[in-house]
Amino acid sequence: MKQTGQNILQRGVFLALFYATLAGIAILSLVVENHHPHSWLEAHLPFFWSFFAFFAAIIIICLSKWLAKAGLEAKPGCYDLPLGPAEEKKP
Amino acid sequence: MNTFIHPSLLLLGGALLLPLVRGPLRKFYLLLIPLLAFAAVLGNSLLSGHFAILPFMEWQLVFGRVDKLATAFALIMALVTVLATLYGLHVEKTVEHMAAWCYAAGSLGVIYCGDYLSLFLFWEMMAFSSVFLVWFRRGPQSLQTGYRYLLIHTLGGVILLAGILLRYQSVGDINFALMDISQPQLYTWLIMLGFGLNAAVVPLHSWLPDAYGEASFNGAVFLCAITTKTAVYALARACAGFEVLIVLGVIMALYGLFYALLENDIRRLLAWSIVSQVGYMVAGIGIGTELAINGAVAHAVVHILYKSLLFMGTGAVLYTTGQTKFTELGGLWRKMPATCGLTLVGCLSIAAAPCFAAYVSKSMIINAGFAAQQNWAAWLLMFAAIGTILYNGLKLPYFLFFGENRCSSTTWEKAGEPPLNMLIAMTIGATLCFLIGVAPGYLYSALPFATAYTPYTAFHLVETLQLLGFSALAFFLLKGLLAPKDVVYVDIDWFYRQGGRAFMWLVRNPLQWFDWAWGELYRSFALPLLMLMARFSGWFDWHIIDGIVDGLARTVRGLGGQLRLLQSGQMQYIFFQVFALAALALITLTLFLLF
Repeated sequence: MKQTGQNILQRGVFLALFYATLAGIAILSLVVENHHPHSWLEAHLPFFWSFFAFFAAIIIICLSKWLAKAGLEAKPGCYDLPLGPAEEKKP
Repeated sequence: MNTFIHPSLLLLGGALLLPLVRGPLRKFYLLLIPLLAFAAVLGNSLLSGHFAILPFMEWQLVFGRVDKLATAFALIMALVTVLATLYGLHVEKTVEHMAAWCYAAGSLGVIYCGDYLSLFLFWEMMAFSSVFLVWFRRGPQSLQTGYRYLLIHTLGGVILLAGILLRYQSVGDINFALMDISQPQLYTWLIMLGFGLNAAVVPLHSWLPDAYGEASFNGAVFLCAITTKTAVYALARACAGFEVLIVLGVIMALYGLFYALLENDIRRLLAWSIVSQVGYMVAGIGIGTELAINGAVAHAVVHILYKSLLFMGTGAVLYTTGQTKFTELGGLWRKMPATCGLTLVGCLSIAAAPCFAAYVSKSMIINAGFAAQQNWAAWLLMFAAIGTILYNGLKLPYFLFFGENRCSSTTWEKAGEPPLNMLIAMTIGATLCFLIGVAPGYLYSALPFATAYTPYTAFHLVETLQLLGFSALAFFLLKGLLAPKDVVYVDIDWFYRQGGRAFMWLVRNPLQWFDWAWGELYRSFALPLLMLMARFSGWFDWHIIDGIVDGLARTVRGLGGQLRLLQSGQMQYIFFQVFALAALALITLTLFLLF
C-alpha cells in the first residue's frame, strides 16, 4: 500500500504516543516500591520488569523461529505424504 | 430452595425432547433449557453436602456432592452452556444442539458426582458426545480428526478405568476424593494420567489443537470451555499437591506458547493457547496451597469466559468468511468492527491487562509459586505470561483485524458482522470479562478457600503495565519474524499419526502378502494332501470298516436265514427239535454225572 503523507503523520503520532507511554510506565516503576522482590536483581535493577518483558519477548520470538526452522515447520498436508518408496508404489 | 436438582437431567431431558420442538418455539426452547440448568446450579449453590445418592450393588453412587469447589465449576459450566447455545441459536442441526447439551451434561455430572463409577459414566458421556461437535463441521478433515479424538479419549478412559479398578482393589471404596499423593501408587498415577489426558498435559495434548481447530464454529465454543476445565476440576479434587503436576504444568505453559506463536490457523492458535493456560492451572494444583488452588480455580473460571469469547470472535470470522488462516485474512476491523472490539476484550483478558479477567487470577498462581518456594516454576510461568501477551494479546488481533489485508476478493466480500445472537453472546462474554476484571470480589467469594488476595496494588499494576508495554515494543520491532506463513507445525501427534499409517502400510503390504502366500501354500500343498487323506479315509471306510460291518451283517443274515428254515410251522418238526434238544441235554447231564 502506498504511504500517503497523512498515513506517515498518523504513524508518527502513534509511535510518539507509544514511546511516551512506555517511558511513562518505566518512570512510574521507579516511583512504586516493590515490597516483596523475588530476586536480588528485581530488588536492585531499575526497570527490572521492563527489561524482563522486552528480553523475554525477544527470546520467545527468536526461539520459536529457530524451532520452526529446526524441523517443526512443514508443508500443509505433510501428514498425508507417502511414508517412503514402498508406499509411493501403491496407487 | 433446599432441593438438589441435577442440571444434567434438565440438559439430557431437554436434548431428548428437542427434535419434537419445531417452529417459532424452537429458539425459545433452545434458550430455556440451558437457562433452567443454570438456575438449577444457582439453586444448588445454596446447598452443601451429598444429595441424589443411589444404592447400586454394594456401593453408594453420589450424583450430587455440593461444595464450594463443585459450585464454582458448575456455575461457570452452566453459564457457558447458556452463552454457547445463544451463540449458536440459529444453527439448524438439531443433533448438534443435542450433542452439545449432552456434552455439558457430562461435564456437570462429573463436577457434581462423588464417586468414581458415576464419574466414569459422565466422563465417557463427554467424550462420545463432544466428538459430534467436530464431525458436524463436515470439513474435509473432520471425520478423520473426530476418529483420532475419539481414539485418544477412549485410551484416556481406559487408563482412568484401570486406575479406578486398581484403587478399588487396594482401598476398597469408590469415593472420588483427594488421593494420598504423599505415597503415590500405580492407581494414583493412572487416575492422574486419565485426568491429565483430558487436561491436555504434554505429551498427551495433541488431540486438542487437532480437534478444536477442526470443530464447527459453534461446537468449538463448547469444546474450548468444557473438557480441559472439567479435567482441571477432577485434578483439583483428587490430585491437589501432587508435585509432578508443577513440572507438567510449567511444560504445558511453555510448550503451548511456542506453537501458538507460530500457528497460522486462528483457532488452532487459540487451541494451543488452551494448552498453555491450562498449564497454569495444572501447576497451581501441583503447588497445592490454598492460594494456589484458589488461583487455579479462579483462572479456570476466567479462562472459560475469555476463551469462549475468543472462540466466538474467531468463530464469527469462520462463519462469515469461511477462512481460518492468517494468510487468508487480515485488516478485518473495517468489515467487522463490533466483532473486532469484542474479540479485543478477550485478547486483553487473556493477556492479563488491568481491568480484564486474567489480571485477577493469573498472578494468584504465580504468587502462590513464589510463596511455596517453587521459584523456578513461578519465574517460568512469568516468562510464559510474556508469550501469552505476544501470541494472544498482539499476534491474533494484529494479523487478524489490523495489519496487512491478505483476504481474497471473495473473502473480503463475505466478511461482515455475524448474526445478532452471536454478537449478543459475545457482548455478554466481554462484559463478564470486564466486570470480573474490575470487581473480582464475587469471583473470590466463590473460590474453595477464603482469600484476602488483592490484585489491585500499585506495584502489581505497574509491573503488569511494564510487561504489556515492553512485550509490545519487542513485538512491533520483530513482527516481521512472525508474519503469517502457509505452513503447519508438526507436533507429537506426528508419531502416532505416522505410526498409524505405518501400521496400515504393514497390514496392506507384508501382512497381506503373507496372507496371500499362506493361502497359496495351502492351496498347493495342504489342499492336495487333505484330499489324499480324504480319499484314503473313504477307501478305508468303504473297504475295511464297511467290509467288517457288512460281513457281520451278511453272516447274521445267513444265520438268520438258516434259523428261519428251522421254523417251518409244522408240528412234527417242532416235536423233533424239542425232543432232540431234550435228548442232547439228557446225554450231556449223564456224561457230566458219570465223569
